[in-house]
Amino acid sequence: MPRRKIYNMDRKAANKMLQNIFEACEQQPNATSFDTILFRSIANTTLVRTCKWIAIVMLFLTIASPLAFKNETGFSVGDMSIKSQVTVVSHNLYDDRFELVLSGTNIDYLGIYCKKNDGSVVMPTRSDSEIVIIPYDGEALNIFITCTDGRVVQALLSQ
Amino acid sequence: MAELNHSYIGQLVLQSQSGDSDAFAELYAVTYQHTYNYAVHYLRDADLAQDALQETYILALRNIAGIKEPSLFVAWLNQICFRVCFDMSRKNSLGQGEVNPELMELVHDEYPEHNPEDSVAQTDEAERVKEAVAQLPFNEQQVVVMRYYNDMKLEDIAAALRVSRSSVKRYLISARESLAQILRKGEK
Repeated sequence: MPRRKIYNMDRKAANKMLQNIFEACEQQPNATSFDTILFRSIANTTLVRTCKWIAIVMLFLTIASPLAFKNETGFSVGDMSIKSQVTVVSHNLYDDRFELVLSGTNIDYLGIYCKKNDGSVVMPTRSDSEIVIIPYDGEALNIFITCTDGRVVQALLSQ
Repeated sequence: MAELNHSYIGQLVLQSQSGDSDAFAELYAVTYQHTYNYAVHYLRDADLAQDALQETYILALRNIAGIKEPSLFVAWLNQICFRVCFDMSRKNSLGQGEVNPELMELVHDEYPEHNPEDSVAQTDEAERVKEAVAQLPFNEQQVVVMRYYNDMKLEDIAAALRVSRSSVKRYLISARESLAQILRKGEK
């Protein structure tokens, strides 16, 4: 299919013609410059407005994207090197306690303890292969999960 | 030309109606390239097209107060441009105002019971077809005029109207059927 020829008029000629039109109709010419008006007219086409909205949405998504990766309970496990030995199966935060289900062959359940930021130690109320229950009063807790080989996985429960 | 925001154009028309020159200048800015392209294709002459463009916008500015539906400004402007180009092409003997024999043939294919040989005169026949063309919807009317009165190629018409070649064909087919109907009614 042959390419259709589109004819365009020079901007200066267009401006001159506009002034002729106003003169022929005995109307005051435009106070704003034709270039400014031309730019404004381009900015108001549907395409440009759509692009503007797409840009706004993209910006919002970029800003909001970290929220998608936020841990809801503020619970994170550190020390990647031995994380493979200790797996957090599930965790739930309640008003007064934090429940943790772990899996791993060499977890020393009796050695699990927590520390608050002020250094005070919090011991789990229950700690066995089924569940670990830690009292929670709203303060951040560092949870230390010890292994039988002496290594320790540290997890953080933030506020 | 990017797709126009018709509600925004409507606002500009309302401002122009109250004498705001900047608003009219903006209306001109958003439409002049499209109108110019149409005029060049129609008149096949850049200088004539500029004259037609100026005439179109002078008429538009003088009559803008009469627009009842501001959001339809572009369609209204297109009609003015078509009329201006049509008149200008006749004045400049581009189309001679004569009906292309191809159109007569097409009409008679759709309207076989009528034989132009039986008509009082060929000129009467052409006049009746012209009147029938004037009754067609605007899109069909301008395509018929461009194709059969102005001998424009389908590609050129498509470029002038910024539609596809198949759309032009569709308008022509529809126009042909409508013309046959109008002529049949006129015969009764």
